[in-house]
Amino acid sequence: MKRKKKYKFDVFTGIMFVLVSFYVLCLLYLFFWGFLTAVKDEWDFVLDRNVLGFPNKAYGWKFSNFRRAIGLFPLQIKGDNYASFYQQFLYSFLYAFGVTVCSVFAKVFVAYACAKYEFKLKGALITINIIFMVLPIVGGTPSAIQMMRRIHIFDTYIGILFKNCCYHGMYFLIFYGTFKGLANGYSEAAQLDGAGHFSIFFKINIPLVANTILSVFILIFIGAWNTYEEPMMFLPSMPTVAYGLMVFSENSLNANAPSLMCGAYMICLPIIVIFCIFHKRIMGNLTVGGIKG
Amino acid sequence: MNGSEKQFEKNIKRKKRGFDWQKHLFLVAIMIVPLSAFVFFEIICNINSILLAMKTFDDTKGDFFWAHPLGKNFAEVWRVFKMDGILITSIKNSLFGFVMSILLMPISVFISYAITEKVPLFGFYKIILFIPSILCTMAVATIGKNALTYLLPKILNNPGLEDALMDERQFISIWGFATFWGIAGNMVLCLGAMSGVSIDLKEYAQIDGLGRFGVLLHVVFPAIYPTLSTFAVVTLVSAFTSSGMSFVFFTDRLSREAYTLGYYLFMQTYKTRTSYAIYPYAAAVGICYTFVAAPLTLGLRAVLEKMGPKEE
Repeated sequence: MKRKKKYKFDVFTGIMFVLVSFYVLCLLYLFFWGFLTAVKDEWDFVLDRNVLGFPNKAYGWKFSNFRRAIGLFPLQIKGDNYASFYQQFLYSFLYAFGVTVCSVFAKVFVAYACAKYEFKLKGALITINIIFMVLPIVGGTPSAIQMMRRIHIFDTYIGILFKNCCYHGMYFLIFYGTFKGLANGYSEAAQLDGAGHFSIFFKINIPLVANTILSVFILIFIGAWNTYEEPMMFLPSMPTVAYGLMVFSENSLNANAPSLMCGAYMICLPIIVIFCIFHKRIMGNLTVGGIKG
Repeated sequence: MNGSEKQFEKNIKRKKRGFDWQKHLFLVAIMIVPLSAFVFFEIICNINSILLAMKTFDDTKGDFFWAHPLGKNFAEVWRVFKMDGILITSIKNSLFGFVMSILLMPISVFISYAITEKVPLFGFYKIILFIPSILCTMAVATIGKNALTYLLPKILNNPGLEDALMDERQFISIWGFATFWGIAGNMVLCLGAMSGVSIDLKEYAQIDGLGRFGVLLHVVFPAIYPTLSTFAVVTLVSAFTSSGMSFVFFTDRLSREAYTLGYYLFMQTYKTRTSYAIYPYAAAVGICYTFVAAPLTLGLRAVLEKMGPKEE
């Protein structure tokens, strides 16, 4: 029978444990309070000032607040066109999925080319990537909007996908390192059997790095789902739920705390589901990368 | 000759010809879109940004024309900096945020160290502490705004705090919540770095008589120093580039006293959604920021590298 190793406490460890426990308790209490607020009646929270307690028995637990919040989410796009909550959810998914696919495969393609082939631009591509990671080039958004308008891809789905096809960034270096570490034996064996470059890439090398691709895909998807700046600035006719929540909270007529909390929790739900399924992969890769995806 | 031998012969002949068109076709096919996007959005757009900063928008003609003088927009940035006071306030607030982020980093280091040292319930704590890193900032700001307005005044039994987000305490309220939430995000950074520290090194240090605090100070801290210095550089850059929680809390209704550099720049960009006239000024602000942020970033990186622990 395995004996459980007794944890050795000293003063410093005791202080660490208390600090961590206090912080985690604060976070948990904040999440719990947010949920309690979401299921309170508006009168219960605002007028009766029942801020801390459980929902008052007279009003009950108002899970219908979530349905009500969905009804308050519609967002005006152009003229008389409105995007409902479900449309915003769909736009968020389309944006996050499309942007992630383009971003991941742009980096994979260029990283593979740089890792496995010799060509003139190879050194320059890697150096430029490092320069752009180190040097903060700020405030290019107005220029990007103007240029996209000029070639008529502003406020289009294709336009935002093209914008996210840039190869540079931290994940390019991760893929470059991964492909560099792959033995050439498989590719050479496939070449001898008559496989062309496309077959070697898609049928041999991509499956070998599928694990890394999946991990990066999940991290970038979470980041893309959560972002509001880029879709707000470059794709205003396809508002995401994050932007919808921002506009919802600005609307003082509907912006009571229970409704807002419902909106916030509904946006977080898909990410929580993804986290529950892939938490080991997400936590493992976030710690390796050390930076939020 | 079988199939593979025939293919091998073909490959040899192709190499002897000196131009492998299949290889080049493949490289062009897989790289044309990523490189086109890079050239368009990073090279062309940044060059256009410099040119845009020297232009002005003519409402009557509906187009951009060269400004007279060319540096008119940069002069306007300088005028706002000297006369308006908003940029000075932004600099002060950003500097405060940057310094406090560095000073409060040890909290994240302690928490990460506690997780690495596998304190009781560390597995559960690790999962909870990861969640802030993956949640939507807009949703977090919604929870934060309501917590600051309703929860905190009730817990501290101080009704006067209900207006903290509306008066001169606005900046400190937003900063406080962002810092509280950011501790978990910084922990993710530190955990990644600490996972690379050899267990053997820690054990040797403990055998030499160091306690956990001593191991943290003399073994772990030097090992994670590159990560901490990267964090410092990234925090400095984000002071210029990120609107942080300010925009998600208040969009365009933040009071002037709570402006930061990142928020000021983002507001110029935000206004371009409705008006072409602001494009040149916004581009000029971005270029000024770049000329300030780039040397500061490289300088800070050089100083931190010099200050860092040496191998011996």
